[in-house]
Amino acid sequence: MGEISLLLIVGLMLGFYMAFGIGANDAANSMGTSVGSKALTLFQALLLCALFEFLGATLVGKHVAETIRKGILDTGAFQGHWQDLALGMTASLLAGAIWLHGASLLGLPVSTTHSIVGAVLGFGIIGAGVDAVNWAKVVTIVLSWLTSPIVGMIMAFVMVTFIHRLIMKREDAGRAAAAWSPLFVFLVFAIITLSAVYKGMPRLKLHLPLGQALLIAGGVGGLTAFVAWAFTMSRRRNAREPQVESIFRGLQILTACMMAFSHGANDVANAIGPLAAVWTIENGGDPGAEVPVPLGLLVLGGVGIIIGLFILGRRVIETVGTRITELTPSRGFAAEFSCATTVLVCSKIGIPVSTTHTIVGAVIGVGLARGVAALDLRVVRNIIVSWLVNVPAVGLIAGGLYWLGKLAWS
Amino acid sequence: MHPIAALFGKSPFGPLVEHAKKVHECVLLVRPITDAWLAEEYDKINLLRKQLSKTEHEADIIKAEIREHLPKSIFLPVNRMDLLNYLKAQDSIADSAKDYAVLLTYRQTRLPEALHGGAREYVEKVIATSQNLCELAQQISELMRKALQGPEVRQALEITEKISTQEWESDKIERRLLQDMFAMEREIDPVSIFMLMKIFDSLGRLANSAENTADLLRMMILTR
Repeated sequence: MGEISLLLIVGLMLGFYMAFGIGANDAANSMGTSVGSKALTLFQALLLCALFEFLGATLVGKHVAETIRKGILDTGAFQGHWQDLALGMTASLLAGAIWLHGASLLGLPVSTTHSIVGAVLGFGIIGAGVDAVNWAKVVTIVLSWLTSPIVGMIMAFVMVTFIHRLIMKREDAGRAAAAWSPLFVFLVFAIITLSAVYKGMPRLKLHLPLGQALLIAGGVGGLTAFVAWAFTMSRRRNAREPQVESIFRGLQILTACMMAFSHGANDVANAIGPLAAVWTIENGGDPGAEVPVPLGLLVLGGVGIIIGLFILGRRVIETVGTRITELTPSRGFAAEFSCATTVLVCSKIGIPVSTTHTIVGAVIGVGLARGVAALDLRVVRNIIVSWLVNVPAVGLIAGGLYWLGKLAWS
Repeated sequence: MHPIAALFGKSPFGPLVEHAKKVHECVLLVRPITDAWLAEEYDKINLLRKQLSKTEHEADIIKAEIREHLPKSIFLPVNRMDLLNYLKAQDSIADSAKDYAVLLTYRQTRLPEALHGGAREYVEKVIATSQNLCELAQQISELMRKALQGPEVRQALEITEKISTQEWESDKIERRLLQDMFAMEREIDPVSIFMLMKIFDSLGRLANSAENTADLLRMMILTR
């Protein structure tokens, strides 16, 4: 591998910067409610978030990264002139970063996922024409953008109702909560493990089919559930009456970690997907081939997210946390579990979704189950508007930058 | 603003607690006003009347603010109309208290010594009724602020029966008081009789409003 190309260096820097922005922008999604309900201090939240974002990015992040690298555009359209694809991917990263920065300055909420997908689409259409786009995939992705908040909403609604009927309504709510908590712990750990293990460990040369993956996930889940059960038992032996909300406070911390994990899994690709394409091309490979995304790139993305989280994300978490003081831990738990599960499933099947919109959907689900004192539904309208603006805008910027790059290079 | 933060709209329940507190402040002033009236300290009545008016106005401001921040796009754990109806009823408690004070400032209406005991009993009963209602309102609004729905809510609502009973008892006291008054009607000038009836009536309306508010509060919670 002779000289390292300028494009690759720029790509690496932009990829890192994009990851930084992702960490800064989306950190509050997972940790905001826990900091608001005082289940975690800001510093604890930052530490846990960093750890789980990194784990999610490196263990499960490859699937969505691969979609962005080669699933949106038909890389074959660039056969023979790979440099253009590399240039375009770099342009996409730059466009995404500019859009993120600009929107943050203007105080507009922005979805990093929508931005990068829009950017890649934009340069693809301008660079290689409409036929270069894998429209089937794009339609699937856009449909997921619509369905993931709705799925989150329905799941959260069901969970809040379930928790209310089976736990909150009872006179001995504390005991009921303690009794059900091992199941919740099981679910959280089983789902995280399953997403990491099923079809996820090629490096260890383990190709686990679904059955074995389920067994492992079930095992880990069962183990942690047992620990939770033993913990509640020991508390009971000290004759301390279990408090419902303090039990859910603990569960909420778990689901906050789960959310950070799922966010890392889904969003690291927004920075690393395009970079992976550039990396492969600059190393002389075929970006459309079934070569997995290099672990090093995922690590780079993870580190970028962590740094962005610590430097800028902390303020977003604080701001969001001060506004969400009235969401009780049980409701926070329901919303986060629903969102994290939805995002993880999407991550596993390689679909990039917006974690922000999904958690909004989940909180709306909680609100519809009457778990929120005042739910401002104007947010929904703003989100829909942002969809319609976000994608074309970034697409145009990316297309424009690509075109400028082509001019400069020739 | 971050979409998650924007989702949590301005909740009316915090201001509702404030409104209940303000209304109760108004009602509590009825006691010193009555003391001043029975002691014939008419200047003091005026001072207290001004204070009550000011407090009632503050309650009005809170009420207006609550109404302003309830657009149709806000989704609440209770029915919006039920909430507004309950708020209106709670506000009318303060209005009745103000009416009582204002009536006492129109003229120096003397209450015969023989009726002092009955009047005090009446005032205490009315204040007790309103007190229970204001405590209930604060409790419920606090629970709604956190969107809680467990058994605590149902327990809190059991007070509404007590409020009903107290309102009924205050009606009985008013009846006795008026009967006693008419028993000595030859010793009281007609204008005073006219004013005394209005004064006692305002207290009756206060107790009524408290019971009505409790009812509407209960409906707001139970019929969601």
